Amino acid sequence: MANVIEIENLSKEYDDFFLDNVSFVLPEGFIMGLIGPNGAGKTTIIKLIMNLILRKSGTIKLFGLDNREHEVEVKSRIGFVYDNPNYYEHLNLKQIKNIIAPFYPTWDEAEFKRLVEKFNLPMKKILKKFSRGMVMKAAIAIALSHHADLILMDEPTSGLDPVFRRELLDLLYQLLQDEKKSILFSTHITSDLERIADYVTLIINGKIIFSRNKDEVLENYALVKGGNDLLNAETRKLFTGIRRNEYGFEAITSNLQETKKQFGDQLVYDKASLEDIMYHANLRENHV
Amino acid sequence: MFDLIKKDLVVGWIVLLGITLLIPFITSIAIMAMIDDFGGLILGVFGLITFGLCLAGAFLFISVDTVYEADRHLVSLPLKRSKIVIARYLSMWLCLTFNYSLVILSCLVAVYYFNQSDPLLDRLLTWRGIFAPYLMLIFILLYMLPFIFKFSTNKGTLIAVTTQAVLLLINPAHQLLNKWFPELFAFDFTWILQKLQAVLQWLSQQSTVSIYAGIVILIAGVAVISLALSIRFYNRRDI
Repeated sequence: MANVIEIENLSKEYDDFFLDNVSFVLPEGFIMGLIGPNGAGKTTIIKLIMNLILRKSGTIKLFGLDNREHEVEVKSRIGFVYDNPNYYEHLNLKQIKNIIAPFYPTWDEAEFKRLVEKFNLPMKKILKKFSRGMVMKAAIAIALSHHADLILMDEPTSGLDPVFRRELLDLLYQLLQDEKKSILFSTHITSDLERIADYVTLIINGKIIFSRNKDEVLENYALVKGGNDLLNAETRKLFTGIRRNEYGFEAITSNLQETKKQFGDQLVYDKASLEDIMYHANLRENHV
Repeated sequence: MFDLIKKDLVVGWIVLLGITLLIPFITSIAIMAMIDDFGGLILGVFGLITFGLCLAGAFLFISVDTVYEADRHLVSLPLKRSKIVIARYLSMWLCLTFNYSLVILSCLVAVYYFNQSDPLLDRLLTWRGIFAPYLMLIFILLYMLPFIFKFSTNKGTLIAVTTQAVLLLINPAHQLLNKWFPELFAFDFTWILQKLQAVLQWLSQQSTVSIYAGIVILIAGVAVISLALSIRFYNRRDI
């Protein structure tokens, strides 16, 4: 199976932030969610993939091609949606479409019209009068109208109502019926990912914590609770984001089998959601 | 390329409309007021109005892109950054030419319709009088654009305008300091002025064709350098 995105040892340095040797791959035909707290580096990764910002080191291959050397070629196969698609507000959707469409050789006018009708978007109303959800729908309609093989979205669901979020996720899921399409999107709303993602990449403070199959993550990670007496230098290695209080501790384990083998019934095991994993991975040891 | 210029026209038509109404209005009023009140055109004031209106209009034209952070969208399209740069050069040049044409048109209206005559205005409305400020405007634009592509429209414009102001103020500032502190600022600039005058003297002895050819070569050279710098800066800029 070919990889649509191959990122290797990617670094980017700002005054107050360092993206540290990030590596992951997205195979063709799958959805990957990029999760992490604010300022973790999600948008930086997406911007680097789109070559909007320059990398310090590392390689990014899209469809097997370097994203800088073959910039035009790879971008014509990407549908990109910003977290805040700040289009010209004094123009209407038809004018925006007329500006963008000529740059895509594979632009499909019929598909654009179909999506505009599906999303109930007015073509002749200026964008200033669109709600945030409508602007996001317009951005998605534009991104999907040139038969992109890879859809890249930066926080597409933030600020949207649950109904449209659900619609969007359904739409993305339908897109994958065409097995050649792949999707990478960053989000804070981890429940969205649990619904549709095949792969999850967790990034914190510019470092990749993991990039794995979602089902594997949910099978191997667990939320554990137990007495403080069970914690020592050796056992701590099994846990991430230990939260302690006078009654005991709560943490995440990334190796459920090994933890069960070591502690058996001494710990309480709960299923960990992606939000739990993100929270505990971000948490340093906390004495309450 | 044409699609990018067309985009600028679609996006900035309202600015163009404003310019079309404003430039002839301000220019005509300025001409009339100067001739009525001072008995003739004052070159410094008129030049300032002309240069200010033409350049400000061209920068206002691209300010719509700045407001809506259009760079983010343009760079995410399947386009080489160099094309975006070239298209912006062409758009701004077209806008500058349009603005300057409006100024000249206003001058013509003042002379022929309102029958306002003035020796300076008459000299300005010759081919040489028209093209000399136009070339100067193009030089200023070519000087400013690399700053804009290096930084951003706002920061780049500020830096470019500041450096021009500093260059303009060097001579008067030096004269003033020389007057106040003659022993500290004894450096004599007159040899530079003499050299410049010698160059002008030499130019005046050349044939018209040679001078025009020289100007074309000079403009083309500056344009190539400016464009190359802008492309280099924009290729290395984080959007």
